[in-house]
Amino acid sequence: MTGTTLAADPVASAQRRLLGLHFFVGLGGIAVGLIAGALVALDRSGVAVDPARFYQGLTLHGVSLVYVTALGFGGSFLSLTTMSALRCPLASRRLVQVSLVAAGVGAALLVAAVVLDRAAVGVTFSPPLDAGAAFYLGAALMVASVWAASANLIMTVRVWRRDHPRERLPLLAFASLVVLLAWDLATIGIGVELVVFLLPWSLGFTGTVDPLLDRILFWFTSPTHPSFFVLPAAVSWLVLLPHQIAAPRVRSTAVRGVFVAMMVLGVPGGLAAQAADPGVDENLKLLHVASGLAGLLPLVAAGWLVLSSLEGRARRAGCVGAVGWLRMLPWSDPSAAAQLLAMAGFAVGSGLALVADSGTLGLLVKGTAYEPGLLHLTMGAGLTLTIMGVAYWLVPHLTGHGLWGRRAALVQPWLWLVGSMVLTAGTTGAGLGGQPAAIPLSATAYADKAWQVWGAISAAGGALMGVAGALFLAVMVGTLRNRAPATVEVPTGPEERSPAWLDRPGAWLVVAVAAAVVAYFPVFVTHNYELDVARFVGL
Amino acid sequence: VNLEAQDWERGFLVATATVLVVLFVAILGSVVDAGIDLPADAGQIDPRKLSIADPAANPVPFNELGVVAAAEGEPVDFRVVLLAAEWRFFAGEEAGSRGAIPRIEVPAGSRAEFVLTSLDTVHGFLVADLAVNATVIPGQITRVTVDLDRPGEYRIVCHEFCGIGHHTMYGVLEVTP
Repeated sequence: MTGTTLAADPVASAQRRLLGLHFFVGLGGIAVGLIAGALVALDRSGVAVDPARFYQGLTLHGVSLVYVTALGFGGSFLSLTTMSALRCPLASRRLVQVSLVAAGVGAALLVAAVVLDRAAVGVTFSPPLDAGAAFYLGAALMVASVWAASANLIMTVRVWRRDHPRERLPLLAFASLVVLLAWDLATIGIGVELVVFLLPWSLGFTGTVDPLLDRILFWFTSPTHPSFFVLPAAVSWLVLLPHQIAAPRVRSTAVRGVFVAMMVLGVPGGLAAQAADPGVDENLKLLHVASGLAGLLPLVAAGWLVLSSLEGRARRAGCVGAVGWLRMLPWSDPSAAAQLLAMAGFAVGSGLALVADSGTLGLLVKGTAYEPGLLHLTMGAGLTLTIMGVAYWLVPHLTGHGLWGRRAALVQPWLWLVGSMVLTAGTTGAGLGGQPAAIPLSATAYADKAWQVWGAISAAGGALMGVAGALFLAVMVGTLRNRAPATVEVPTGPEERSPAWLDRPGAWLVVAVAAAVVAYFPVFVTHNYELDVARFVGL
Repeated sequence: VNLEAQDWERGFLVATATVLVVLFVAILGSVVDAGIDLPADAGQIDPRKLSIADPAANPVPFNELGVVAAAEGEPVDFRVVLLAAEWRFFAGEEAGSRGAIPRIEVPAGSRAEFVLTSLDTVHGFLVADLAVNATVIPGQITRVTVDLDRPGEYRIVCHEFCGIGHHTMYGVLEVTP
């Protein structure tokens, strides 16, 4: 089946519509996250915000951008890329529906729980603060949505293999599947935390929770290097972007190696985020720190591969000089510009994260404003700006409507990146000055004068991000209403034949599971399970 | 395929790996040689057996709050025993009662161990200017050792979100000359 017949295939078209809705659930998370973020920016700018509202806003900001946007984007986008790479519809229409409904209901529950029920517990759930059953159910449904999408991908790839016994899995499908398999493995952590512990506890079936065990499970899901939430963006950077901008393609074998390494090295680094926690063995923490540092290598390799492709494109156009080629990059393409800037922000953020997750060095910044600072570059710039860049071609691809407001779409990525850089500069400065992360500055009696100055800088950056976010949403609404038709294809192209050992996502998942078992078996075995802690209601 | 670029790539990755290995060796060195420890497993305690109003009946070591002298031959000069609960650090009656901000006075030039646990939610214990950074988790005992070299007033803050009064949870550590 060719690309054009896939576009005409009614089964594929119906699935694409559902996946498009799923993608828009993720974009909805950006809208909610921006509104909630404004509350935090207001506080940082010196306006007195009621602390209860502040904590509620902070929770809504993080929860919608991480669980709704990141998970919603990954589940839908990687399904679409797999479909396009294999040139066939997904194996199960039912699973596409299940994944969409789980994401939609999950997102609605999460947002409602925080807005109406004031479930202010932050992104990390913070038990034994009780966020209420609706909140936990919402988060669990977002995870279930990812599991449904990945089950569908596994089935689809199996069918494709049966029909193409001699072929290698196309790189785009390989990378998409590896990322969702990595997510399957990682989300066992919060999946178990939510379904086995927090939900029954919140409903009153069990009387107590174990806060340390819950923290271990949470960080199992959320290692820093590589940040699993950002992985779908890497699929776009390494596999799609070179084709999108007609740059020399990146070697398929190298990209496969990068994604496999990210999957295998990711989960064993979770304890690096718990450097300051009691009840966990110090040597195990250091082992995880080592694994987290090793996890930086595939990131650096990925950066190298993308850069050499971009440079190759500029050189081909006749550009000479050491840095002059940077000006020759496709800055006039909104989608490419957004992703190039996203990568730049992500690189800086990853560097900052390196300090936070380096064990004893990290004690200087753990839990301070330094951490949300860097998150605005890794997640804010790296992931969210990439989602925006992808939306600039994906929404026209899905709807057949031309991109509306091209000029706004060209300005938006710059505003967003500058905003996130300024926000991170301010927040990092405050963190290095000892400001704890999640405090309403306007209500904090012990706040330093310097924190107020750094806070004002953060607020200015946040305001820029707010303007850029509003521009993005306007471009999206304009595109949906645009009558000018457009035909945009998923950017793909030829690739060299990769060795068989890099064509086995299932086998590499086994290796990743083994690595996770080696890293976490001693943690779970030595944990003291006898101590449970009763319920505490947050607000 | 550009072979020259591949050579560069290999060299670049080796250089990155070298930097990371050096960083990790430095981290190990800070633990083994400089004695900067990460908070680790220091025992468990049932938070329901703890009381702020009547600490004398608490399990050891939380039966005495505030600055407690260490026994002869111990590696520290004294302990600072604190209970964390929404939304205060409790240091016993001498240092401050419920509702007051604790003010803990300790002499400079000493080696102190902070011992904490939580009665309710997860709290944090950050003395940024001393690089003291630990989580306080109900059910777990947190122990951090620090050298108090420079006299001065240090701010103790909770840096782990613990509910609506999180930003009011702090204290003062006064290191006297």
